Amino acid sequence: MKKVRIELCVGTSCHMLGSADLSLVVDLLQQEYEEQVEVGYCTCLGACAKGPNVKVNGKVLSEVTPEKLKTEVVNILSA
Amino acid sequence: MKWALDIGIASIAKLGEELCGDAVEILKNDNSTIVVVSDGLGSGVKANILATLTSKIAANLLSKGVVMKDVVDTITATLPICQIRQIAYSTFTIVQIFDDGQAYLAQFDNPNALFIRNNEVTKVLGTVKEVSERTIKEKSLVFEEGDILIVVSDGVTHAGIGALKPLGLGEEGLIELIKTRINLTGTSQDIAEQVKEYCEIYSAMEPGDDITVVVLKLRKPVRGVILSGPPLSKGEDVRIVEEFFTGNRRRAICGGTTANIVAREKNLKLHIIPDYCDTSLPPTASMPGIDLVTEGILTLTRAVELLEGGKLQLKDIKNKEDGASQLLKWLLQCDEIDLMVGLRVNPAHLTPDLPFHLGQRSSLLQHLRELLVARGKKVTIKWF
Repeated sequence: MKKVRIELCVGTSCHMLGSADLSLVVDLLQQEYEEQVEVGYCTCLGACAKGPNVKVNGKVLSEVTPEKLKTEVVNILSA
Repeated sequence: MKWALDIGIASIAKLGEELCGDAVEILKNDNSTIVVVSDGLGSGVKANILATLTSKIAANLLSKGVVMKDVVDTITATLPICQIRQIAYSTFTIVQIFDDGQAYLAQFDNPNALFIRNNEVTKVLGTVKEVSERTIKEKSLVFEEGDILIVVSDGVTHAGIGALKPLGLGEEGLIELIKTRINLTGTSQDIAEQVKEYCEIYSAMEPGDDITVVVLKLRKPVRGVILSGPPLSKGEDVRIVEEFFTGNRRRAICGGTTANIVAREKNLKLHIIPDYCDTSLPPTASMPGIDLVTEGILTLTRAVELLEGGKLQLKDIKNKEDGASQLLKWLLQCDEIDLMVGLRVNPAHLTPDLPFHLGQRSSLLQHLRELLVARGKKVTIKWF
């Protein structure tokens, strides 16, 4: 079973740039894929100007939109 | 400071008026706190101006050591004269409480203050004295831990006229209310709000006069420290974190990076609580040994906005769990607050690409300090 570890930045810049919307997507993904999706939160991923930033399986993604995050996670899980 | 004064204020304007005609002024100096409650003639803007002038003049002059007679003379000579009634008039109650519990009370035409010790409620009558043709009641008191003083404007004793208390609540009614209905174990703000709410109910939610309740309670001071912002020089991290953990104080952290520094230096686990009680603010976090961990700039900005105007009441934020409300609840519970402010700025916050402007931590905390001092807190600020 494939697993995805998502780490969502909720720092000041990322919050202003929309990380609250991403947390909704993360909740939905967790409901849908249950134990396949593991979620963590952090306060900075070091790319504040390009937020919101999310770390997916160790890779930092910048300027993430809810659609982009969902596609990324679904792609990994269905690959 | 041997004792701390927990101050609670609740007021409401007469129905149809935007401004309350009562004013409360709190002034702290090195060894005492002066609280002045004033009720201006009439209601609305005119009353508000009279009351504000009275309370400001009295508090400032007394804190400079001016004698009572001169204070009353100055107030009388300064207040504008009402065109209709041809008099300049506003009532006042002045309380000066020293850090060792000694207190001086002067009352002019306000309902008698109430003193509560061990649930025993007594009126503070005082010695009658003529000062500049005005009858002033003076009294010296010694406060002990847990003692409460309640000062009200006549809107409280008149509450209910023409509604549920045809003759008004009266001083005896107020004493009865406090004895039977008010939970005196709460904070001063709780007590003040409870009394105010009963007055509103007696007035059938249509207060016919400005209502103000001020509650003073002597207690052991609660000390707190807030760490916000990383130090300018990275080499200072260890020292600042060590300093943050000194002393017997409650601790809070405002800032994600700051929280990470503390977690790193003290090897503590930072756990972010992903509950968005209010989506406009980032979530809070928890860390062992720390009361509260919040995000920095946005949360502080909101907290300052809520405190501005001085109308914030505990019940407005009592059931809210967002970072700013939690921070305010924490702040209002403290008597002495040390602000430890780091001046390192996140360069990413300054890039012009960001579609928003973030306030400056230093000016935010400076402003927060002023607002807390106005609420009677003793606040120190340390920059690094």
